[in-house]
Amino acid sequence: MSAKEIHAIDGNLAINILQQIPTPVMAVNRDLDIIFVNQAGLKMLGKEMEEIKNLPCKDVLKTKHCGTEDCRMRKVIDGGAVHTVRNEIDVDGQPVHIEYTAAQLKDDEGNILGGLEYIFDITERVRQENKLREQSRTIQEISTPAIKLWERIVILPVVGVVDSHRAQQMMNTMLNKIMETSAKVIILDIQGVAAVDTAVANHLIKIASATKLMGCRCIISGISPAVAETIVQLGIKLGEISTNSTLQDALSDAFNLVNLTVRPKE
Amino acid sequence: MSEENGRSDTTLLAIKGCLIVSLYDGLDEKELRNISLQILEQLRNSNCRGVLIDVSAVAILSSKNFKILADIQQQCKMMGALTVFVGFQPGVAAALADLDIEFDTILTAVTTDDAFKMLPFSTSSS
Repeated sequence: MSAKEIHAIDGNLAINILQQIPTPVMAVNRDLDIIFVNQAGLKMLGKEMEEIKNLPCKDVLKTKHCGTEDCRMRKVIDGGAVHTVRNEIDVDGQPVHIEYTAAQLKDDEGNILGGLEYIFDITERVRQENKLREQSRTIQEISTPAIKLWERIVILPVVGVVDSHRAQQMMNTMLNKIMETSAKVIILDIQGVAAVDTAVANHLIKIASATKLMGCRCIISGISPAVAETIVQLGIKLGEISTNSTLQDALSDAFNLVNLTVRPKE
Repeated sequence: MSEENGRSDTTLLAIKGCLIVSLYDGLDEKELRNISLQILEQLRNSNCRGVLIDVSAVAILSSKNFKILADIQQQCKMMGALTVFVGFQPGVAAALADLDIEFDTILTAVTTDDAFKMLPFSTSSS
C-alpha cells in the first residue's frame, strides 16, 4: 500500500500508529494488569511484551506512585477525570523523572474496561529547573554587597527587582555594615531598580528608618525622572530621607555630612 | 534609691554637664521606669543639660520598652535636657522598623564620639 492510498484507518494501521507513537503508551485492565505496552514503552522498560503481559503494572513499572494512593491510574479507573502528574520510575535501578497522564479506557458502550497511560521523560526539564533554581540562588547572593566607600560612608548598589525578601536581605546587609564600619552615611543607589511602586518605596522607607535608628543618615540616589514622577504621583512621602539623581551628587552630600571637602591639588 | 528588685541602681556618670547612662540587657518595664526616674532625679539635682543613653548591650527591645525610651527622651526634654541614644544593634533596628514605629523624635548616633558632638557639654570649668 503506498502512502497516497491511505484513506481510512483499519485495524492493522491503527495498531501500527499506536505502536510507533514515540513515547511510552500503556493500557491496563480494571485490575491494573498490563494488556498493552507500545514499542517505546517496551524499549524504556527493556522488556518484551511476552514477559510483562497480564502482570500487575506496579510490578513492571516500579514508580513512586505504584501501590499507593497516589496512583492516578487507580483513581481514573475508579471514576476520576484525566490526570497528569509527575512521578519517578525505576529503570534498571536508576530513578528517572517522568510525567504521566492517565485516562479511562472504555468500550463502545461506554463501559470502563481499564485505563490508558502515556509517559513523558522529563529528565531534561527537571535538570533545567534545578539549574534555574541554583542560578536564582547565586543571583540573590551576589546581589546585595554593601561597600565601604570612604571612612564612615557606605554604599549599597541595588540592581533588579526589590521584593519583600530582597528588601529584608538588603536591610540586614546594610545594618550590619553600619555596625561594622560605624558608618555615618549610607547611600542606597537604586539606578538599577527597574520599577519603583508603592511597595518598593515602602521597603526603602522602612530601611531608611532602621538606619536612622542606628544613627546613620540614609541617602537614596539614582532617582530617574520616571521614578520621581511616580513617587510624587503616588503621593508617597519620603519624610527625612534625602534623595539625589546621581551617585556623584549623593557622594558630594555624604562628604558634607562627614565634614570633608574635595579639592584640586595645588 | 529603690532596691526592691534586689539590683542596685544603675550607674549614672555626670561629665561636664551631661549624664551618661548604660542600659544592660534584659531590662523589664519596671526596671526601665526605675532608671528613667533616676535620670530625672539626677537632672534635677545637677546642672546637666544633656543625657547620653547607651543601648549597645540591649539585644532585644520590645515595642513597649522602646516607647518607654521615647518617653524618657520627652521627659528629659521637659526638664530642659537633650537626649541622644547611641548603639542600637542591627537586629533591634530591623525589628523596630518592621513594626513601623516612628523614630522622628529621637536623636541617635552611631558612635559615642558622634553622640558627644551632639551633646551640650559645658565648656566652662566649674
